[in-house]
Amino acid sequence: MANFTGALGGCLMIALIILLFYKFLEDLGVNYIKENGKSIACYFGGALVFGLLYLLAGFIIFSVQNDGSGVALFDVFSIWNIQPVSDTMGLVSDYSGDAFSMQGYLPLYYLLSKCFGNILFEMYQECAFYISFLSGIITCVSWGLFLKKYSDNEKATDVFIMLLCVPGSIMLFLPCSFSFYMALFSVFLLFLHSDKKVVAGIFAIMCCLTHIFGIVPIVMLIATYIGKTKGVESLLRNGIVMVAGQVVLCGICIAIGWGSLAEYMVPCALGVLLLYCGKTDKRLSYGATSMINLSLVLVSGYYIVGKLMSVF
Amino acid sequence: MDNIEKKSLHNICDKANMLRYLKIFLVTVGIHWVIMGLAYILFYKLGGTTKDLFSYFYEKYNVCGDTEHYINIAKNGYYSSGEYANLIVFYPLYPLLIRIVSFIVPNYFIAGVLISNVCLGVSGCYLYRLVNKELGADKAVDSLMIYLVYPFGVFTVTVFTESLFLMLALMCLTYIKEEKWFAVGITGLLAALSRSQGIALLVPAVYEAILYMKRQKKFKFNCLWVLQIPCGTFIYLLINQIVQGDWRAFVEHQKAEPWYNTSHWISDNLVQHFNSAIDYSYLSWLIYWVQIILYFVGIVALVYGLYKGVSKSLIAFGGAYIFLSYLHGWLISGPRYMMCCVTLYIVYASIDNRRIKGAILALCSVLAVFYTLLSIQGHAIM
Repeated sequence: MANFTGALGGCLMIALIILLFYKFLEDLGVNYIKENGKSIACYFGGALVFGLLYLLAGFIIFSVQNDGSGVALFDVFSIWNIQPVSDTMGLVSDYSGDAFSMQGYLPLYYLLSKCFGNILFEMYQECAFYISFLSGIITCVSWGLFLKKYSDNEKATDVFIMLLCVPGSIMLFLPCSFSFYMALFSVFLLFLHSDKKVVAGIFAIMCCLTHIFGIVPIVMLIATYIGKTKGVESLLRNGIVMVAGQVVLCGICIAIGWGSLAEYMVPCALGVLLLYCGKTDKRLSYGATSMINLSLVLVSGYYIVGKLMSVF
Repeated sequence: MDNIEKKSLHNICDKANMLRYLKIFLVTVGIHWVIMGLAYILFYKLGGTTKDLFSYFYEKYNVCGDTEHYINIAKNGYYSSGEYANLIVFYPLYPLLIRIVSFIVPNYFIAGVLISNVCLGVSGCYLYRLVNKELGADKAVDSLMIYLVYPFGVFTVTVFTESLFLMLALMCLTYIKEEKWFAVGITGLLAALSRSQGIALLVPAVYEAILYMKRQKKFKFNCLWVLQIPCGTFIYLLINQIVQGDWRAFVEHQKAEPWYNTSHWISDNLVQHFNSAIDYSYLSWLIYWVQIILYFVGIVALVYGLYKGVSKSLIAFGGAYIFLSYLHGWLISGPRYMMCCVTLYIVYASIDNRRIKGAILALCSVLAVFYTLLSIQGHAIM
């Protein structure tokens, strides 16, 4: 109960800070926030629920596996002691050049966690978790807003849920550079398709400094300048570039032994779903969507249980 | 209306205003002493003392809590080494004021009480003025009412920094509302020199300064005065450096006996409060449960205030204040600290349901007498 009280108190404070920042942007007259406030709130809520449910599932599995040991719900480093989270634990307080040469970890996320950790009483791991969980929410909200640009509400919601059911989507909320990369990439995508190429370029550079997959947004940006297409055509082009780029990079990473399965699957799934959004105005039937989601969730469950019980 | 008529109307309004604020000043100080009196009567009837109120007050509160430390600093300044070197953890403004007033009132304790009570009265005036601008006159009265009966209000009439900080914080927030940026900077700087949480005033100041410049559609140099606020904290750090040769000397002293205070993330501190409430049953409802409840009530109240349309900068101040207060590890003065989270009084005033307001006011009034009695009895009200 004490741990729960503490965790709840900490989360409420962070939620208040985020809410106040959002209100500040509203006051500043950031029109995008004003116009899409309701959507942002919906996707925010959805992402929060998914993230917390994933964490809860992991907590239950870990507790049963370890005979109800006194670990807290948000003690993610103990519960999710799997790649790449386990590597993050050491890197957030002690990142060095070896981390890239040996394992392919780029510095931006770890340095950011360390910077906040230094401000917050050397709580490096806690800061890493907060940054990652927040990144997960930013990723989901950005996806949601992006999908709404090219589809109606129902289709956007379908795709949003599918993305969160993809095996490995738990990594969007766990402390690792991949979660931060996905947040940067999602925001990059939003700016790219809002014709704000300079801002998109800044986020693309940040992606490059965060994860080896960061080369994909650079390629997408170049393709945008070369292709000069807009609207759905640019969506299709970006989807193809994403999928192709990811497949190539994933192949290289698998060969070298860098990264984890989750890091390969989520971006590829995003690319495929972008193609689905752009390729057709039609929407899969409710039954088909439900079956796809069920299949994805079952595979996710298999993946999470297997990882937490060290089966693979 | 000609100029003479306008001027006399202005004078009449000024006189009416002065009279109103004088009444608020007297009521603010008076109610606190009435609560003290009621608690004292109960204490007397319980056989706790045979002395009159003021004699007992002098004897008890002269040596209560941090009072001795403030008086020591006022008399002797900070120490570079030795037994009293750790007094550098106390911020300088309040002891400095005691020292100044002591030239008129030679007794340091009485000087401190005088400063606290004057600051208390002025804080009531500024709270009324701020909430009047924010929500209207009736709600300003409501906020004043709840302010007067905050359960741990005993610290506002004794030699503690609460009254001084409350006055300065309310002045700063009022001037932010009135867009008087130089006054914002000065009062914020002084607040930052009186308590560590004074730096929290930078949040609403910067928030409103940015919005002000956006409305004006240009950069306004006079808004830069708000940057005086962190200068208060800088001056305190400079004092640490000059007196003890280390900018963060106070941190080391806070970690050591008798405070054992290191900063931790809020979650860790709440866990510690919870466990302490279980382990130390005597202190649970004096300190720990109260701190935990006030934290959650505070956060919920701030969100409610956002929903009710209270100024976002005021909510931001409340959030920043609670954030800074609950970073203290081994916090035992949480209820006292939360008294200075003035946003909560404003949020209370914004409640429309008068029954709920009445119930909260009644509860606080009962608890005010109760906790003041406990303080008089010498319990661990810190």
